[in-house]
Amino acid sequence: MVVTLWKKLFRTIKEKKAQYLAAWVLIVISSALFYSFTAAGTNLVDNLDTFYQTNHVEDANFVVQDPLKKTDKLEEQFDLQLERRLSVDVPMKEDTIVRLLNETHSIDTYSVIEGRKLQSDQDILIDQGFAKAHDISIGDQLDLSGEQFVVKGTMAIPDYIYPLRITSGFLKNPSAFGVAIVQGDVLKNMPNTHSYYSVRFNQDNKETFKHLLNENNHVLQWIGKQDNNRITFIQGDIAAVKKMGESLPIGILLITLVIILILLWRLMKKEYVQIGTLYAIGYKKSEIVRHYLTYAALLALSGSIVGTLLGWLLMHPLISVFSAYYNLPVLTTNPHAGYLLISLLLPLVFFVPLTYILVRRVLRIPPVILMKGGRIKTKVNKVERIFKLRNLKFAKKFILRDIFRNLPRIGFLSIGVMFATLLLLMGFITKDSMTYLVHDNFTEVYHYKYEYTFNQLQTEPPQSGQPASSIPSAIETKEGDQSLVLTGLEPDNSAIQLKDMDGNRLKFDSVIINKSLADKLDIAEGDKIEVTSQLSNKTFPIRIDHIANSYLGDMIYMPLEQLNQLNDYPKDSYMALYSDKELAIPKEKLASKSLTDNMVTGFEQIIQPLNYGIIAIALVAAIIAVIIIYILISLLIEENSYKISLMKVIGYNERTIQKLMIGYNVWFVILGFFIAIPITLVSISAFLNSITAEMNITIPVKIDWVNIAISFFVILAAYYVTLLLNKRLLKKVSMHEAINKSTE
Amino acid sequence: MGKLLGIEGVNKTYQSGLSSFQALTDIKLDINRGEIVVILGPSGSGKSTLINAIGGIDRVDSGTIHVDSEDIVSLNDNQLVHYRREKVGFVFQMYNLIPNLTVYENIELAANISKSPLTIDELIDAVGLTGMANRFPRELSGGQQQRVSIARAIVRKPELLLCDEPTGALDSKISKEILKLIQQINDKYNTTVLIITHNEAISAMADRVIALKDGKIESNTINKQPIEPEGIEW
Ligand SMILES: Nc1ncnc2c1ncn2[C@@H]1O[C@H](COP(=O)(O)OP(=O)(O)OP(=O)(O)O)[C@@H](O)[C@H]1O
Ligand SMILES: [Mg+2]
Repeated sequence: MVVTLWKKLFRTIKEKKAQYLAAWVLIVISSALFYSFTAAGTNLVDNLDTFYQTNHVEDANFVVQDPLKKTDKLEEQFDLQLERRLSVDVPMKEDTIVRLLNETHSIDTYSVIEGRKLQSDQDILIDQGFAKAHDISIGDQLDLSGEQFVVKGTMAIPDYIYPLRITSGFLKNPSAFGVAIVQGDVLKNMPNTHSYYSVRFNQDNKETFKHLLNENNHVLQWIGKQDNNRITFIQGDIAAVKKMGESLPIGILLITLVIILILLWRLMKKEYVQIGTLYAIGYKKSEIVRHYLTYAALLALSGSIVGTLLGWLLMHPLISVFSAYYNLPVLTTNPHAGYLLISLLLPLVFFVPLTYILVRRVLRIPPVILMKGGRIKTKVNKVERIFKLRNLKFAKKFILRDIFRNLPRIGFLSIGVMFATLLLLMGFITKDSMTYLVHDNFTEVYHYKYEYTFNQLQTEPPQSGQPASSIPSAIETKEGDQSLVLTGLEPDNSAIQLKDMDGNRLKFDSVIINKSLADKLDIAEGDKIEVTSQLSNKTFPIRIDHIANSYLGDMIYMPLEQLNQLNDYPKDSYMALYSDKELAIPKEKLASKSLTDNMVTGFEQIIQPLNYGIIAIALVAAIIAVIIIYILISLLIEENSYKISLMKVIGYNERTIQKLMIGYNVWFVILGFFIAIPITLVSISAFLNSITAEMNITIPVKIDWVNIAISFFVILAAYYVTLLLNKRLLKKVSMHEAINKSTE
Repeated sequence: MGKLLGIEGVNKTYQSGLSSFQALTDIKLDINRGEIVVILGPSGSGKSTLINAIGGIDRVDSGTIHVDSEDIVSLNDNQLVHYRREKVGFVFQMYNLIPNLTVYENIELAANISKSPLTIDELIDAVGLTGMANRFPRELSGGQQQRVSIARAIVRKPELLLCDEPTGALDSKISKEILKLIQQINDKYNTTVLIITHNEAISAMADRVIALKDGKIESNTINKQPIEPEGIEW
């Protein structure tokens, strides 16, 4: 493009800097979000994959009744890796448990994050989050179960990347639970050591392996990698980060695209005469097209470059927050050229085609007509004609006519506000849904403190506590196996309490499926399904009687008697006991004893970063709302400057002019807000479903009306801020314009 | 003094909605190189339509317009751009300057797309705007703006200078100065000049006077003794 035209371009942008800057900021936000989220997400995936690979993540862990004898023979026979694991839960302080694990060599090996490897029996490595929560540093002494340990550093292991106490849990709580690694021999001498196996298959022979184990031993527990929240949660979370990074910026870009189109269209309309003159003095159509395209391209490129740079800066803290939350060692961060390129070019690719079409359209007007300032339209709008405005009072007539003449812009105002609201509500809904899941759902469902799992089936009636048996199972679906936990309970069990969708308490004399699993399998009451036990590979049919309003895990509950019968277990046998108080059960009989998490306190801690996140999102949403409303209202003032000037000449004061010309917009802001509510609910539920697809839970979409009210005030405040910003513009419209129209 | 422009059988009809309007009817006109031609006629008689067609920014329905033996009616859009660049300079009634470019830059805008333009600084002096190169159009009077517009039109040394009511927005004293400038250019570069005007008095400075009425040429007369613009009785 010719140098002189560049000068014109820069000066035009300078004259309208507020509007262009506003659009530019949106592009920067969009690129920064896109690049930081997608690049961070991809880096995390890469590091996670590397970690899983180099540290040999397990495919499953299992508990058998009798210890396995010749593990090396099994490994050879089935071409797999097998390693015995030892673990013991040791109280450190009140309400704080450290799980000591033995050092492994072929599966789930540890990486030192800080410090050095284990060298002696006194050495201990602890997980990062726990170390931080308890202010433990290298060199500290830990007294655990009477043994003295010296902290040699922090570590990460693949099967505790998200350190949950129980595999089906979903909120970690580093102040109450942490894992630590010590040398193998140390644990052998400790009381209450629990033993299990981790396995890594090289071939698709899981079933035959299990079959062999069940021949002369019993598989009591089998947790596949995909059912282990300690391993899978991080994947769902990374997926969420990436999805946010991909969808949110596109939305912002779409809004920006419309804004830029409006700005350019308006600019070209004002410059009809100039365009015609450029023609006349010998400029080619393509040169003029290029000139106007440059506005969009310049905004897009400069915005995306700055945005991507910001994104690059933002990516690192994002990765470290994430990797610290999950116990993931991050070894390398790459710029990821693909995302870098997309981030740099996406706005350009987005804007250029449509602006090109717009500019071409304007340039189809013959130059002689452009030079006369274009065709002047004075036709009365169709909608306007339908309503008979004549009979209305002046003010109403005036406002309605303005609305009819500006329908597209007003529509866009509503859409823009809708988008900002969507963003704002998204934060709140995520929080409200989590709160619901924990406060309402978890505490309502689980009413026991201790869970004792035996190392073999018990047939003696329990002295106290409520008996239960849980069998990891699976259902075949079109998309592959859906795993679930099948739990048998006594009909009058009260340790677990479920309600149906209408809020009525359910008794365990029937087969009950929880809502999250029912939704995943698309099951209704009365349906029959085939369930396969992961322990014995036996398949049996069950008929679903009720759906319970619970979203924790993928669960089916049935009468214990029926469960025993289906699995050929002895009558009245059970595997576990739930109890409110501690039971005196000899430890030789137990496979594990666990305390339910104190969910609510853990939740408060976990929700804290989410609160900051929500504030950040709200801020971005408010900025976007302000920008959109600001641009639209400033355009409104500009386009009507002649009318405003005339009103000033006639003697209207600015307040009345504002009321007549701008005031009505508030109704469309409010309209946009209310349209956003159902749209947000629908899109959030789609979003949550897609990220929890790989996880063991479903997050029901809930929103607190207080938060809706807060969002409403944020949006309304944004509107009033733009009114203040635009006050100057309104003031600047001079009365000369109406007196001396021909100068324009 | 050879023929520069030869117009033959040109017709132009405007279509607006259902009605159509014949703006030019069977125009036949020859203009010699270096002539100052004044086109007179009442409002709506087709003056602008004619000059726009000659300048290659509007199309006619039929006929030929030969400029230097090239028929511009048969040129495609790209060739027309070329033609405008090489041979035509426009001056408009409302000056049509780019408001956020300076005097210098407005002229540069036209010079940029030429192979061998005149030196802009010299030209600014020549049109009487010495010292105003860095002013913006809004900082100039109407007459000064029109000088910029003329400088912009001639920076590429066009063979044809087309002026559509160049003095329409100016008072008589300034108008005479502008006309004087146009005449000087005609003298210096042997530029052929077409001036549209409502003002019959201006025809006194012309070599040829053409009167249009209802889209037809009413008269085409040679002025044997054109006078200096200063002498025009307004
Ligand atoms: N784009 C158009 N569509 C329809 N009619 C047009 C168009 N442009 C010009 N006309 C008509 O063609 C006729 C000639 O117009 P033109 O602009 O050539 O007149 P003019 O002699 O230059 O008048 P003026 O002295 O007022 O500038 C006028 O009657 C005008 O209404
Ligand atoms: Mg005219």
